[in-house]
Amino acid sequence: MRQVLGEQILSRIAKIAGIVVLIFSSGAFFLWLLGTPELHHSLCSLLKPSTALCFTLASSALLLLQTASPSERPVTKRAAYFLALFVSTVGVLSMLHQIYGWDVSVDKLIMSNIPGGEARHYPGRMSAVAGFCMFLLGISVLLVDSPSLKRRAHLSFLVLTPVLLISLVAFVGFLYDASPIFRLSFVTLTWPAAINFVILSFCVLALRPSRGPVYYLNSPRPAGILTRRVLPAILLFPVLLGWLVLKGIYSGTLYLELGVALLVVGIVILLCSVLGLNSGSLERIEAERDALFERLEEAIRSRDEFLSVASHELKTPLTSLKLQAQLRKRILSQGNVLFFSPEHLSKMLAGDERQLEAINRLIDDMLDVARIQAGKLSMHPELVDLNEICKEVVERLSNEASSKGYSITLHESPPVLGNWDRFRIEQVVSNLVSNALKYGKQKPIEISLRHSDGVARLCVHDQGEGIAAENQRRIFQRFERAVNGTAVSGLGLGLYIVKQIVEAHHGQIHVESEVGKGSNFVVELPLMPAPDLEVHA
Amino acid sequence: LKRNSVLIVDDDKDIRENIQTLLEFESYDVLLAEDAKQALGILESSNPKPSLILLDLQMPRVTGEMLLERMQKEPQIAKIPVVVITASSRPRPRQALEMIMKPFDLEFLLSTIKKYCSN
Repeated sequence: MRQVLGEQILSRIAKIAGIVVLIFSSGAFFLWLLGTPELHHSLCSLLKPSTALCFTLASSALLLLQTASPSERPVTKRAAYFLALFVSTVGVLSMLHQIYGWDVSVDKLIMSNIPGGEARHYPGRMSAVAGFCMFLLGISVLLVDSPSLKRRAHLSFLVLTPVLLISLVAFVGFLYDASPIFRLSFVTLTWPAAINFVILSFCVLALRPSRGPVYYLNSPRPAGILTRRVLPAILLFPVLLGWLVLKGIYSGTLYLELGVALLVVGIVILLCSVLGLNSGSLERIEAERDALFERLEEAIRSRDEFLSVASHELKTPLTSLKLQAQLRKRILSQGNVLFFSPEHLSKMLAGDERQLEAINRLIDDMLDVARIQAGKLSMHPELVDLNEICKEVVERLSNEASSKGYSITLHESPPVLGNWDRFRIEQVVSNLVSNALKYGKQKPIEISLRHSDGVARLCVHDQGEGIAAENQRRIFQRFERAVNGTAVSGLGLGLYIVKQIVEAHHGQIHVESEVGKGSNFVVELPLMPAPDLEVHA
Repeated sequence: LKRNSVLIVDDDKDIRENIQTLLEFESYDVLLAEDAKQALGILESSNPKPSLILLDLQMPRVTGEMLLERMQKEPQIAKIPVVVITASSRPRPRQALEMIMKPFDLEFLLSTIKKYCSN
């Protein structure tokens, strides 16, 4: 399944994000190394030296992993894993130091040469929470290639969930100026640390875009569309509302109970809108799927019917041919040579030819339809006379017409020259006249031809059964015939092919008909169609 | 000895005539009908009735199955044995003794006809 953002773009975004963190945290670290006590004082509320170092190492590890493709470059990968392990260790040791006082002097190790560092209470040590998050971040990098859990869940994401939650609390707390929490600096994150954790978590998840939340965020399917639409609202709206309510309470506009009530109502409204949005989308998706399913079923039904009609149509001439062949063999074997008189023999051969011609026509039609479907019905335009083509077709079909009891009249016309594919236009005329011979009820058939304003107009008129108004569009579709099922033989492809050929010549075809009074098929062809003759199925 | 007569009902002229030639060589009397209407006319007017009916199922307007239903209404006609011929796979009508698939073998057709002709 294609994703909304390609893997390359995604990995480029992750790379840029990683580089931003690298520059920011390594910059902070160097400022610690070089700076004055005043600078240290302000840096202390942004990024501690050991935190800055760990971010530098973690972002380096992620950049290394991004450059290494999953299967190759084990050295790069090993280096990245080593850095991640180091970050995890520093994190867990800092945490233990903060909570239980187990001093393994990680911070002193890192910061021993900071000028004036020892004077402060926690010179370079990250808070317990930061240490915990750092530990999890390192672990998530180590788990990046772990096997997927159910439904594309990613073990790295499970490990990163507490990190993201803590970062969110820290960020929102900073935004709301929750000073009572922030004063206890050893249990909180500073806002730059929170942002760095979020960015690096994204970088970890973006390493394997086919899994975890990145997959859903990036999916072109309904799940992805919904996620992308809903996530920003869920993240931003409550935070913004809480901020407004808090401002109201501080300024005295709102008292506490009303403020909380407003916040709750706001969140309920948000959840209801999200629910409504989801239900609407699901309903629409379901309806679209149902419609698609119906169209598919219809297509399969019509194809099945076509196959059954096609095999019947092919078997009929085949039966005659087989019967004839076996009959002759049998008569010969009985020594009845007199049966094969020249007159009888030529009649039999004419019959064979007719059957073979019928089979050939059926196969040609099927091939043409396949070509149209594939957009490969090629056209070779040349200067041809439509009147000449009509004469040839009438001449060719005259035997069939008279044997079926029809008369065909081709009205006199001067030459109508146009730039068309001779073979295909002949097919158009021939299909229309053959149809008239099939449905015309033995009444006279008339063909007329005119041209004006650069357009040739061909009419094939019969006085047969006619076509009901509701069927007049349908008959030009694939596999369709006006009369249902078995009434008249044929594949239901002729008019479809005719329409495709006419439209490939930038022309039009329609039928004027009334039930019981016959049909008049009208073809309009531009004499000089645009040079790009194409078939669009 | 009275000759057997066979009624061939098929909308395809060539198949009708080919079977006719074959059966006449085999000393059968042959009656031809190109649709159900003609077939009913022949069945009602002929005396004696044909010994066997060869019936194509897939025909324009009135199908073979519909003709079989209509034949049931007249006991004289309903008891004539029927062998159906078809090109498409459809179930054998219960009134038909046997079903032959197109394109069929000439020897098989002959032996089937022989089997059901009484004389």
